[in-house]
Amino acid sequence: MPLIPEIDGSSIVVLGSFNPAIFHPLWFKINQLIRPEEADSAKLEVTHPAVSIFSLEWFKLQVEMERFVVETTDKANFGPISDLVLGTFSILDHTPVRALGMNRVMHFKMDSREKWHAFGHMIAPKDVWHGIMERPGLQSLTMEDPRDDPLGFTRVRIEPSKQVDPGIFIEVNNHYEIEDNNIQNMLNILKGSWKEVLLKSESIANHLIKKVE
Amino acid sequence: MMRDLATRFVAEQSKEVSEYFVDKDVKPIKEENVGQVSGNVLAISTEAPASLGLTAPPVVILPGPFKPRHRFKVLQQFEGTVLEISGDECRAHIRDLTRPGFVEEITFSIEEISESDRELAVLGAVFYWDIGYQDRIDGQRLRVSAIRFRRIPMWKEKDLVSSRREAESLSESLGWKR
Repeated sequence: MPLIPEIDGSSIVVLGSFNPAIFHPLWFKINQLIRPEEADSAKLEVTHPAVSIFSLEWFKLQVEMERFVVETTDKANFGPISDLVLGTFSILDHTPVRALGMNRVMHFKMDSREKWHAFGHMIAPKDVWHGIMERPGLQSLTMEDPRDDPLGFTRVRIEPSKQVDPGIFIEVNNHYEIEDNNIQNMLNILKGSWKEVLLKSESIANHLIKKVE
Repeated sequence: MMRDLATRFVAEQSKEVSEYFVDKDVKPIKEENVGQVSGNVLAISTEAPASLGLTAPPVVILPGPFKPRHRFKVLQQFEGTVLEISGDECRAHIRDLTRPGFVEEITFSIEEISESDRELAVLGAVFYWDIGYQDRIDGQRLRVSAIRFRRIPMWKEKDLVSSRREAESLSESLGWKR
């Protein structure tokens, strides 16, 4: 049985060249990428040639000149945010893009503080620090797994959770370099890998946490 | 003289700022409120700045804070495909995403679909169906069943041409004949 995170979020990050000003709720409404009522009730934070930020109940969008980010904190919306990105860049299909990040962030609650410590000791043994530090404790650990095809990597960051006590924060960044800066290549990766990447991220977290179960 | 210059400078600055559209509630982003919900950023950090070049610059950076007004705890998650719309009813095929391999055919009332999604409910349309608890910001928990239809732009002529070409080439490579 997979462990269920207390907080489960995901985000899609695209690096390339964007015109932030067009990323306005009205544009999404006109292109039928969101419901009309959602566009009307969007919380608009900034609309400017250099940055555009707005949020709906189910996602937040932030676009800068070189970075497009959409994120959600509800598992129910993992599919819809992928549709939103696919829809957006199927319309803006001449946008040059150079990298895609499909990310998942999870906060797991541990049964006890003992298990929480046990996880820290398991993932970062303290023996090597004894004699030079008094009370060494894990603050952050990053592990990277390079990938050749498609080029990129999976990067896992583990920290004590600042949201759940006692809890563990696990972030999985699945990074893809986009061949020829071609948006169609990016869309194909997103279309073909989104579900798989989310599952893999969950498996990584489960694999690690179950070591101390 | 100095005061005049200062006044002009302030006026110029205000003019520039007023040209932006910035919500009055927006607070400047500080380190301590980055990633409050989904992220995990330390309140205070004394790490070396990236500009020193001591650490590799992040290629893909996770976004900042996002505070939804409710949290949804998924109990069951389905992906469905519309098979038929008949009168007030919708017949669909659903796959349980929480139990791989589970497929079922269901019929539900059109009333279950949000009004603005009803025009999307056509034969072959794909939708997400989530059942779970919605925890509102005021602490109230609600049991919720929510249907959301996929919103993907229609196929363009060039997409159809390219798919046809790809299919033909695949067919040829397999030695299939029409």
